[in-house]
Amino acid sequence: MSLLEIRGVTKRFGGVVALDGVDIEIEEGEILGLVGPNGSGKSTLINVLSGFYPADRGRIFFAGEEATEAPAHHLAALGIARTFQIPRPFDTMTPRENIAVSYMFGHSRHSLAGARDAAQEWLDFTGLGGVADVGIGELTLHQLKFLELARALATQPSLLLLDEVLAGLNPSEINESVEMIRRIHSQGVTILIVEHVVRVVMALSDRVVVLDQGAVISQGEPEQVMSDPAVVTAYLGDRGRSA
Amino acid sequence: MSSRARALLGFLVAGLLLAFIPELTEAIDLPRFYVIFLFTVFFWVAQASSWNVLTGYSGYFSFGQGAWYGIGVYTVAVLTGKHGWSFVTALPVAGLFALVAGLLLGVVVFRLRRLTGEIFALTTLAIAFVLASLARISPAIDGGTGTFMTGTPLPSFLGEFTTAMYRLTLVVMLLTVLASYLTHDSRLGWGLFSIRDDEPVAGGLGVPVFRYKMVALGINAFFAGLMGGVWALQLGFVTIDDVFNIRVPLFVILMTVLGGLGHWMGPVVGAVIIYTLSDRLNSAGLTDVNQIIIGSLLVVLALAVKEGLYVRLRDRWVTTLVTFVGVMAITTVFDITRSLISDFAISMVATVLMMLIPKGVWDRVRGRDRPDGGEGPPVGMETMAEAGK
Repeated sequence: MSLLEIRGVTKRFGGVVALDGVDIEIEEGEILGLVGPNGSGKSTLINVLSGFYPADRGRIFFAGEEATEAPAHHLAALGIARTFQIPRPFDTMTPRENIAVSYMFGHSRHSLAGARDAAQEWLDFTGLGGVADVGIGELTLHQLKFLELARALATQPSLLLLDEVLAGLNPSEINESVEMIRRIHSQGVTILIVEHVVRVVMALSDRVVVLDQGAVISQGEPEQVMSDPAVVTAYLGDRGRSA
Repeated sequence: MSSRARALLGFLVAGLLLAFIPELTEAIDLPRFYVIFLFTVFFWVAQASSWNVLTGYSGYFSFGQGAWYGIGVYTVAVLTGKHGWSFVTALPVAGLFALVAGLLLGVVVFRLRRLTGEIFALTTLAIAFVLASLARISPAIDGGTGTFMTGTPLPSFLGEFTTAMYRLTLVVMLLTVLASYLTHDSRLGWGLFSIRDDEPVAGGLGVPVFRYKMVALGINAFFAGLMGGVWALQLGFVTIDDVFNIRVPLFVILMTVLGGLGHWMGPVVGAVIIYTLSDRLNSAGLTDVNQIIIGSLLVVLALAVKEGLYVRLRDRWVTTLVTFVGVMAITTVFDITRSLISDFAISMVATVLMMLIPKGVWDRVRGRDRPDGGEGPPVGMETMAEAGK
């Protein structure tokens, strides 16, 4: 059974159709890469899936349960967590407290008493132990991105939605992140990864879905999808095919 | 003993110590206005603390304090004055009515995602105006004539009027501060802090944002209404213009911001300082410049002590203690002002002035680097580490 089932999801902003009848299934345990040109609706899809805003039409099922109209905190309780392309930490809290909050709420409820200590697990996992108790302002972009990841993981999700976690990182940081995503996956977490760095998507994903102008134009094995004429056209325009 | 048990014990001890001050002032022959001064401080501490639970913790800036307070005042005034209820039965109803009004507002405004920021603030301000108009046009509530409260009998075990007012305000204040403390130091509190920092993200991580905002607004409205109900007695003659004006919301904002928004002790410290100053300036005949002085103080403090006065007082607790006790001892022993309240006010101002020394200068004078380099955990609120102590 698929873990997440997206059926005919449509989302409009005014006159712009951001998602146009999208059907995607995510199998339990896989890493699904979601790619597409700028403005193709990748981030909108993540926002709909994490309950940031509701879909105008279509239905979403998570682990067999209808999750279409569910509020964001309910989706978190079901086991969906996400990261943000531009990190959005709680900036009056330390990294440890950021993680502790998501551990307290998240997939299952935990009390305040043990939350600080519990946060250590994800601080260690993402290598943020050294900056656990400083102000958010002292973190580098790289550390903020890892904090996003740590905070999402602390909700103990079964589905992790990664929105361009690698954007803005240098090559060695990218490699480090890819390693970390592999480790998360090996713990049994299903991953949907939105990414611009095609090399990374190809290396990580079991399957790739390509969005263009809000619609799925291709899906399948990474190599197969990347040589699909429709995908080449979407990325490079018509001249790309003849070249 | 856990930190929470220690705190509860602290509240109990503080309550018991404070409870017998009316008898103490009588025994050492102090004037009655000392007791009146104290219970007015209690009133403001409760109002500011309840406001802080909504605005300080969740970040939703509210001007609704006057509405909740006014509902409390009028509930008691109407029920006892027009319907012959006893004060003791009317008081809880005052809290409940304010709570219900708060929740009704919450259901509407918190369901509409765009009603945040200044729109939320304006909506809460409008509530007080609407209520004032309702009371004015409705003879069942006020009808524009005002209501006399002076004849309201109080249970005899509370003592004569001033002592009774003191005990009532003390109990309501303690309950309010306790609620504020328990919220601050809990899952609910951290959920609210995360809503204040970034509400959509908080929701995505599993914080039930709607429910938590409702709870925060409910706590605010209930305790503001309860204290309003007690205050109806003190007002004596309840009129719309006295109750539904901008004074209460404005004062709680000033007090809480000065003391420190977001920490449970902030409004307590702020209310004591601002009310004491205001009272002393008035009694010194400086009523006209009163607001100028308090306004200037707020501007200076907002610029110099961004984290709020309470956090600064705590970080420099030795200085706080020495300055306050020292100045208090000198002024009392030499009987400079002939008034304990004035001595208290002077010691307080001296202590506050010590807090104005900038952090950089402070650290250099003390000749050591602070372990957190002065840029440690974010300022303005207690970190979880401290909450857990």
